[in-house]
Amino acid sequence: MKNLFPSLVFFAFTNCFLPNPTFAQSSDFAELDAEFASQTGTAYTIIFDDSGSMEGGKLSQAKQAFRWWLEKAEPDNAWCFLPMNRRSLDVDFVKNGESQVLKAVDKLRVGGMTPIVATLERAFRMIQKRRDSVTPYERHLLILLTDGHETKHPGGNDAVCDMVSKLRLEGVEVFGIGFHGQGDYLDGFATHFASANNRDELQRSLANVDAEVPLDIEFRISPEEEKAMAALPLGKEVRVSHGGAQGEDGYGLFSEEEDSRLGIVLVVVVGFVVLVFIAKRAVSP
Amino acid sequence: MNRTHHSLLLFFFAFVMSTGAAIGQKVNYSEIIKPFKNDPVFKNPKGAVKPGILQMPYITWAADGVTIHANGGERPNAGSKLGRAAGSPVKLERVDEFDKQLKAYIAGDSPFLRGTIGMINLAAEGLTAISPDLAPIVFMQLSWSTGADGFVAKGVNKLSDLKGKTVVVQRTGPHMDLVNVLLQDAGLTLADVTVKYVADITENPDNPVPGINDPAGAFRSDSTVDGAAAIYPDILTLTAGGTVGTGAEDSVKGAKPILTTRTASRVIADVYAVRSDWFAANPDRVKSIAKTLLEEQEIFRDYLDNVAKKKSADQAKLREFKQLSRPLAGIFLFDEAAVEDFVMWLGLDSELALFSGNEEFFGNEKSPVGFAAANQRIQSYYAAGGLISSQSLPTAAKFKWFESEAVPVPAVTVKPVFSSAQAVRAAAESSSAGELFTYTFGFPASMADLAWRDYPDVFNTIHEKVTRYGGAVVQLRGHADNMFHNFVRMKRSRGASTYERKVGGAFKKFPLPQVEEVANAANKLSYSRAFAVKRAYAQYLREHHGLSAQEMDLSRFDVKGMGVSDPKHSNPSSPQQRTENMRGELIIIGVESEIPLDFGMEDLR
Repeated sequence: MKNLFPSLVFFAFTNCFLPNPTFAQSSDFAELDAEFASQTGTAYTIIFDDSGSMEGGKLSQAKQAFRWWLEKAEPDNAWCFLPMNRRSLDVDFVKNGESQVLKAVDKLRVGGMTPIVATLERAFRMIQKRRDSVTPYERHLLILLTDGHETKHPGGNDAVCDMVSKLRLEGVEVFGIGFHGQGDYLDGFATHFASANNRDELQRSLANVDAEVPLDIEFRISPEEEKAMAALPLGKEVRVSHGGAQGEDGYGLFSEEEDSRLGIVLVVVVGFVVLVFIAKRAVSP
Repeated sequence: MNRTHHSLLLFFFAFVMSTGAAIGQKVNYSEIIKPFKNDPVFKNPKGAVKPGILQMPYITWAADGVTIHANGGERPNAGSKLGRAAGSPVKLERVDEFDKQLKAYIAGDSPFLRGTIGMINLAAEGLTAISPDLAPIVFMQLSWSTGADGFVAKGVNKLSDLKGKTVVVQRTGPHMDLVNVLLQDAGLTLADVTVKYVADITENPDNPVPGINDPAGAFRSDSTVDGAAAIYPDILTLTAGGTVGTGAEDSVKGAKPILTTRTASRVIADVYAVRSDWFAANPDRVKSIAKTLLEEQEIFRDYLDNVAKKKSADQAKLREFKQLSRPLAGIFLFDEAAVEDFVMWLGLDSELALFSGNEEFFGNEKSPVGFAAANQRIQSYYAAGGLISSQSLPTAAKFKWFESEAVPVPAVTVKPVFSSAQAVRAAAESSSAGELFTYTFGFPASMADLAWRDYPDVFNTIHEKVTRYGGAVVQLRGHADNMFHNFVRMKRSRGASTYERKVGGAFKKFPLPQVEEVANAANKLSYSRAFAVKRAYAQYLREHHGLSAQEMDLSRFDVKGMGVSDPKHSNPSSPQQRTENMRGELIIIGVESEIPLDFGMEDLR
């Protein structure tokens, strides 16, 4: 590279935990600020292993790990919580939903199997739905806290790794958090892997990465590597849907037509239910 | 194409065309004498404006129907609103040939000219050269064309492809300026194309000259013609219903609609001008005429707003509107039963200027499509093309309706063209969408800040285009350089988890990020760059034009982050190429068939 790209530059991989200044735009255009924020935040999906094997100190440790991790998470983002077993505690994506997720985490008790693949699939569907209906530009981080092994999918841990790879190919950054060597099979498959008891490592996993490098930084790259780079196909376009232009809270709707249509539908449905109820009462002896 | 309202008009024009559209007929091209002031029409003797009945020309245009209604018809009518305002009966006469209007104007048969701002500019030099008494004073704007006119071409995907081509346009008609604007905005001059002129705007059975005298006919018959400015019904016929012409049924093989004034909605401004001497002697009469016509427009606008309420429209009012429009349909479409077509023409293909539009057109000096800016643009273009020899700007009467005439000031409302951001995106990605113009902004690495004050001229130009193409989608696309993404992909594919970069003269190791992390950062960076253009434009509107948030229309903007998917250089090998990849683009996209209409034919039945 040095020979062929004398002034080729690269980038800086920022190890700071502050919001990236590139995007810290603000102005007195409140509506524009809201539009920008609605499209470009981070959406966190937290998957908690609440299986029987997490009994004892592990669950408390996982909860503590999550809190450490939360300390460094940026504000104004969307949160989703998916326990593997107690689905009544599910939290769908909520903007600034940290406290809601924390409450659900506190209520978590152990018991049941470890359906990691099924939970990852569920998470992927929710991420896709959010990309389609809210915005395709959010950064999606999936945090998987587990002590170990898939117990429901016949493919076992290999199926977990396959699913993690699939998520990453779809642009989801997967953070695996394991316990004392358990769950380590994710190391090398997940975007990052950390142990639940390693506070620094957990917090470092939230670092921002830059997409571009300043033009005056020189990188080491061999001619062979340079050739390989040239042969790469183009990167994928972020998946953009018509719905995804809407943003959080329906940003971008200019009329209330759809709301009123929804209102009409609701009135009709409620009216129908009331009518059925009255009719049943009328015919009952 | 969602334009069923044109069906009857189309039928009418198709009927007219069938009288003489045979391939092989001779096309009668006419020349424009350069400069136009040397045209024989300006050799006619000047006369004083004749007293008595006031002659006022009108042309075949829906907004002129409002004028006719204010006069209670075409005949002189002292008791009509217009007659009372003018202080004498007014005889309205249809004069579609501008040369005829000029002759009557010079001779004093009528003190008025009825044309577009482009036509008035073309004639201003010749008229003023005869006498300053004849210098045209533009005293009111009637309307904008918002769908009735357009440009059709074969072998042309975007306007800049017109370079070296031959186009045909009506001589001294409203489309001359349309063609000028399209060429100008595509970065071309009149010297870049061959422009041929014909006498009529569409097939005219009353033209005594045998052969073909209209742009559509010329495009059909002359294989050397690549494009034509035409009225919308002709465009539909030439392009097999707004798609691609097949060569059958009067279409031209390969002809596509490039755009209409539904997209370029602030180009053709219809105006009335008056002789300087008559204005000097009768300022109150002129003002009274303008006020009466604009009051009548407000009444028609109210009727049209009622139609736009669709199912919740006041039906009695709708019937009343149709009733009063019947004679106008008879005059313009030769069939009183075609009243619904007339209303569609009036309410969708044209936009009445009203009092507020006149205040904006004449009073807002900063408007890129207002009177002052339009005159400058048109004259510089005519001068470059040799059509005028020196600048001779028409002046405006500049009536202050809201200040001095106590006309109620309407509330500031910006009506979005599209109902939602999703609708804008869907329109931009529709099969009929076509890119018209692109502007590119560069950004430093990893940065997404943009200040309009660093590019004032660029933002002036952008504002001009965004305003002029009022029916177009403005897509903002942000891009990130893909070099680092490629580097990380290559390294990761070889199992690397670190990389080396130079720090203080020596290479040091750093952890290698994951591919999806870089891709996500690129998506966000690219979106931020696209959004920075929108934000900078909003700041420009507020700081340079003094607009409040309520007065800004950003609803046509579609912000799109392209990530690393569309680099200018797919394998950038130099800082220059990487810099070119770090960009934001503002693209004006014509979305003709996707523009929602205020109402449809069904709302009139």
